[in-house]
Amino acid sequence: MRPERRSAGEQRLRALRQAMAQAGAELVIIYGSGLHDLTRSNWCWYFSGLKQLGRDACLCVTTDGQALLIVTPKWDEERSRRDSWIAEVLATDSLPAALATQLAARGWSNMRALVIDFGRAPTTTSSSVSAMFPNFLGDGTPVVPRTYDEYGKGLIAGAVAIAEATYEKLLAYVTPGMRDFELAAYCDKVMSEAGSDANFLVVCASQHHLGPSPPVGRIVEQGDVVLAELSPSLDGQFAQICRTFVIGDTRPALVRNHWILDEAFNAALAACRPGVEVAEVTRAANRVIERHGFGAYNAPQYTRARGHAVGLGPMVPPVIAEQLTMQLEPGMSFVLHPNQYFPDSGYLFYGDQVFVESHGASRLPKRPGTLEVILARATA
Amino acid sequence: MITLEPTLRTGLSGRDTQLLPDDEFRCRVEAARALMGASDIDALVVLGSAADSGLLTYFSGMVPWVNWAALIVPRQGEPTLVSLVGPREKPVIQAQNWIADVRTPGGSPQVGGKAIAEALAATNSKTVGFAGLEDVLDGATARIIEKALADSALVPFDAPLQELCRLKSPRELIALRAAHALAQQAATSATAAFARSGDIAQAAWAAQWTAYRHGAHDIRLLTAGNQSYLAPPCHRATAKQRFLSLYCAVERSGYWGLAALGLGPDGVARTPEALTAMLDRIAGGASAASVARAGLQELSAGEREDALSYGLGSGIGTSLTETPRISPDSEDVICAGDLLSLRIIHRTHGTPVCSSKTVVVGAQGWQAL
Repeated sequence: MRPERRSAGEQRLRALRQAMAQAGAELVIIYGSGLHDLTRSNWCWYFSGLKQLGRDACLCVTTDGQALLIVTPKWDEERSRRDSWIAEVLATDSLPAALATQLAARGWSNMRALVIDFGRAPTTTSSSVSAMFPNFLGDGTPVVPRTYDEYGKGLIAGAVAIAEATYEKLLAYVTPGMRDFELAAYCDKVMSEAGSDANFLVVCASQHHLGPSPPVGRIVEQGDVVLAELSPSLDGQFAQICRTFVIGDTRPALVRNHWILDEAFNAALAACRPGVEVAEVTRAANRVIERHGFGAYNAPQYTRARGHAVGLGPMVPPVIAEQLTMQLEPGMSFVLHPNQYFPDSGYLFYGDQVFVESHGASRLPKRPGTLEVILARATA
Repeated sequence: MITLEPTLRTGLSGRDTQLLPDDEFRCRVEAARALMGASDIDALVVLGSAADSGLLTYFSGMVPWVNWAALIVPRQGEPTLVSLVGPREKPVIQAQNWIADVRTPGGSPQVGGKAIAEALAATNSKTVGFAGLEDVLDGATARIIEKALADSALVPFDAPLQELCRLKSPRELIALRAAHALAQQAATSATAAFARSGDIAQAAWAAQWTAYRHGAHDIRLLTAGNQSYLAPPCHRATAKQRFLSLYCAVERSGYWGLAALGLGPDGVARTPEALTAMLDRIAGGASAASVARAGLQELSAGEREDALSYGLGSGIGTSLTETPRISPDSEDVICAGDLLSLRIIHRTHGTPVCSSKTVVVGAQGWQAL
């Protein structure tokens, strides 16, 4: 295991134990569901360094220095030991049974315990686990971090670099006549080869998008608008960029609307400062859209949110939306994307991962998203 | 077999409307209604998530892109589909299934529970059969749905529906053959790439690329080179390996197909005697436990432990793992018409070797799919 990775694991566990002590907890038990989601934290992976294979896993951490990772299935033991920075790993085919045995054998059953993410377990697992803790203190979410540590920041920067490089390669690869799923598969390949361990990606082509969509087998044609949302993950940590490009000659409405999104993005980015409410950041983007006469399209059927945090780590802020009064803090990172439908160009993507610092926010990609035009190439 | 769940499926989405037209799904819904009538159930709610959608896919044709969805089937009248996405995604969801009444209320479990309750209220249903509440959804979401439906009597209905799925229609067999062939094609590509490079990463990528380019929606791979265990592939170049073991599952148009192989240094794939022994026991009416025991008898103690740990197989269809379960402790009975995927995975010279066979069960024996 790389030394910086081991060191990051030690630091994360140290921070967790400090937070546990402050909360009066002796034991925290973190559930992992095996579903690595772009828009949810995955604390079991975050604190164990393991991308679990099976449906159930849990990490037990005590304030007196012990840590035990229980994974499923049993046959995944060797890989789990190889990849996790937790020294003690136990593999089983039944998490509740193994956990009950370990709690009893280690004298952990009567500890003051916090649990994290057990709501994500299926009922069959969560109902058996909830009965194991007579001194159950409650939900342990307050002991997890709200901002990124140095290791997490480095991973986000690395994932953004992979996303940018993938986009450049996609621009060079795409040719009319290809199917949309080939483009998605190509991006998946490029990101994986660059070291991404999970890819959330949307690549779709149409003359007029109503919104993002999965590949449907469409043959890419001249005049198609291609939407690309690329979100690779490094050691579980996602980052995202959203891009739009056109095959062949572009149209004036496309150029104008992409420029509106660029203006909305920059207005929102300028508003991102510590102490500023998420609602105000959102309004900064929305005001631009409204000023250009597209306010009617700031509605759920035409746009979703102006951005969101990304897993693995803190999902703070969970969404960039007008109803969220949460204030930004240094160390937060999220994707800011004023992606939006326009009646004369269809849905367009525009977004970048940003990082909140003490003086304001910075966009992480080296090259901002411009509306790329892929000039005519031979048909595939 | 447990495989790594992808963050998002990136392959070809949607059902094959030529192979699986609306009437195929209407027949399935009518069969479910007959079961509902026999159990005095007024309406059925079938839940499926992006990670676990077998029954939902069987009745709707859809694998949820993200989050989860619920199909509400009243005893009479048209079904409703509630998908936990926002209105922006409605056109995408509508294109993926045959249901006319598609509702996309948003992404929170609360609005999902409310939408299901509203759909049920319109049918005046009192007793509601549920599938997927305990296992498909997470516990927190399941409790929210139960609370939203507090006025209804909820009856677990997973088992009858799983039984219904066992007997495959002629169209399903075609879909399953196509998925199976694609898995085999992907494995062949992996074998060729491995022969050229000796690199597991190259082999895995070749399998993935072949599957996606030929219409796979999802592909799950487990590989082993010189290591002693199967693992999800790493796509970075690896040191040259002497062996390739591969488990390859492909989903296409909602149906899963499988291929597994273990190549030794001579490049030859072998079917172990244990697999042959299991096949020899397959027939309608045979107990799943006896099939498992027949295979295990051919293995050494160490090999038995490996094979049991990785599992010996099961039914296959819109889920990778369906009834019956092939295991020495299984109480399932194999029926004529079952589609079974049998496998033996054990270590030879310290490296896992995979072999599998997918068969259609007849009254007296089996036929390869």
